[in-house]
Amino acid sequence: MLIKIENLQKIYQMGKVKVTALNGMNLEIKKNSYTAIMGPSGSGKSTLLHILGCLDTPTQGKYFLDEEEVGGLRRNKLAEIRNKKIGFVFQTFNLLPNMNVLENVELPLLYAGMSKKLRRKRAKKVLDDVGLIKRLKHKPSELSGGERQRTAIARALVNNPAIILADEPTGNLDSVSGNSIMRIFEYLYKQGNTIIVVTHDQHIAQMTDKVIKLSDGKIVN
Amino acid sequence: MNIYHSIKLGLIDMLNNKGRTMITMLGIILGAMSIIAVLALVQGGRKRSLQFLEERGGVLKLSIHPKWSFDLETRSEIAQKQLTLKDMKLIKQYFPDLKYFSPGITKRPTLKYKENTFSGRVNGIYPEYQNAENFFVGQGRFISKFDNQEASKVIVLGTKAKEVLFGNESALGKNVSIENTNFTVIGIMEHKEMFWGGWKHNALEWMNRQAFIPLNTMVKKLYGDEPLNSLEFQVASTDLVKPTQEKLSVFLKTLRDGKEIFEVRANSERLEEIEKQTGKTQIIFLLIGGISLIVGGIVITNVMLASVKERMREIGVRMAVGAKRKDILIQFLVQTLLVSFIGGAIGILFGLSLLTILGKFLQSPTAANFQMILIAIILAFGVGLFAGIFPAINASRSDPIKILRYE
Ligand SMILES: Nc1ncnc2c1ncn2[C@@H]1O[C@H](COP(=O)(O)OP(=O)(O)OP(=O)(O)O)[C@@H](O)[C@H]1O
Ligand SMILES: [Mg+2]
Repeated sequence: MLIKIENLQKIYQMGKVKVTALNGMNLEIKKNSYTAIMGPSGSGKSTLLHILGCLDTPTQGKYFLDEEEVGGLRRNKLAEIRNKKIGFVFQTFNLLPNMNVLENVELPLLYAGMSKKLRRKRAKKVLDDVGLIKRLKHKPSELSGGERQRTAIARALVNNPAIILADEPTGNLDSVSGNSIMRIFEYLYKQGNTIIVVTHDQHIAQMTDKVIKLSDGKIVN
Repeated sequence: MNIYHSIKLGLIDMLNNKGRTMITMLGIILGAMSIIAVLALVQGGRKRSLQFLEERGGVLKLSIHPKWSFDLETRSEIAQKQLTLKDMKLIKQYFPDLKYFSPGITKRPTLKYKENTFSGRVNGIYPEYQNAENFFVGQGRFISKFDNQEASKVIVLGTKAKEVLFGNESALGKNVSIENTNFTVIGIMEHKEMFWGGWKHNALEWMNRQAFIPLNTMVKKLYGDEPLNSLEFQVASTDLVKPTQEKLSVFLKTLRDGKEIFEVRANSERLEEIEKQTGKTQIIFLLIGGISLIVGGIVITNVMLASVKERMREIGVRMAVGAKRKDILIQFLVQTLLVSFIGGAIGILFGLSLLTILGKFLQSPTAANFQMILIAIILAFGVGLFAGIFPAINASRSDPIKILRYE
């Protein structure tokens, strides 16, 4: 199993009030699978994805990534795992506005300590894969929404992650650009990648091979 | 992530926010500038003072003068017990290590050559005067031992005295009269000059307005036996100045039945004064420079804190793709150091150009050296480190998920 979570809980303490975002969750995800996470707003989809992406830590329960228990690791170790094993795609792209497409995509490799020459080569390869080889020197503000998201996907792919996580990647896009993004995910899946995507879109869910439905912090299907 | 990348990021951010960068640098620029300018001016002043001291006989010179008193009775007593050549012989005998004994009697007669007259100091002196005073003949020759023994009627003129009496005419070998006695000009002293800040006036002009004749000639041919106005001599080395000064005071007291008629002055006392003065001014102005650096540092801290806040999303993104805390820390610290380093460098350049302008304007000497530049750079860097560490730590403490969740 690539991912295994046991009795995962996430509780936010807001003053005196406790908000239970994830309420005892068990889940297994195989290598080279394509999973959709669906559910109403506030059901805990983003929270789950952030924990899976090592951006956040669970309050309780266990999370094994690639056989390694990562739930309780320290910040620096988590940063390293994000850098080596995770590719995260945000709904709002989260590109650095002052850097061009190539530099944005190179960023994870920079923190991995890769040499400039290799970084260039690797970044160009993935940018070619997402169809942006002609936009290397563009700043994010000079790109369309779809191009921005493709840049973000290239950035998520560049470190050859064990798993690609996407939180509503088409949420800010029109249907045409959204479709092209989903075709990229499908292609990546067929190339052997493991993908988990949070979505509200039934059409997208149909393309995946497994759909997980969340409600009130629990899996309901 | 390497430092090179941090430097590049810092430069890009600085260029993207030129106005902010300028304001941030201002304090550092002013601080470094004033430190350089002040250090160089003060050191220049010190150099000039030391030079002046050297012109006045150097640090080895001691001299005996009648003590000053407010009390009339004491003053007349002092006047009666003036130093004589006999006293000098005794001092020479008891202090064999002293050299260049140079007694002097100074009068202010009128010198005449044809229709030209000149009133100035005429000093009756020994040949040792040159070495004791560090003031040498420039043309012809100085008064010799023989001249003194024979009470020859020879005279050496200062450049100003020569100019007034002879104009462009050559003076050597011609006769000048003092009190109706003819003296042959055998030499012209070297020209002395020194200009203090801003003044057109030659501070050493009075030296050029003197004339010199043998002491014996003055006593035997002009004015009769007179007490000495001054007695100068040199010790062998600087560490002998103080002890000799003390011993001499005691010796002179015994020569005058235990009365304190004379005081022994040392040129090196001036030196101490100069160093003390230099130190004081330097500290005061360094404080001013230091304060502007500190203010500059506070400005940097605040601007960087604001910048960190502004760039939270960037920090979050970097962390999300694998930046560790230390990467973020280094990134922001390097940027602050860059700001202070560039600011310091600009400040030093401004300081140096300010110096050239000030130096010309005030006609005062400046002595900028590598050491000062190093001090300014190190201070600027230190301030940058100090000012930058807090914002950098602040940035590195951010939690990526909190930042990224906040739209
Ligand atoms: N930092 C936080 N502090 C307190 N409560 C939080 C925090 N983050 C999320 N929550 C709460 O946890 C619950 C799950 O939030 P989450 O963002 O995972 O929902 P979601 O399924 O992604 O919703 P959406 O479809 O609207 O994006 C919500 O009730 C939310 O209010
Ligand atoms: Mg969400």
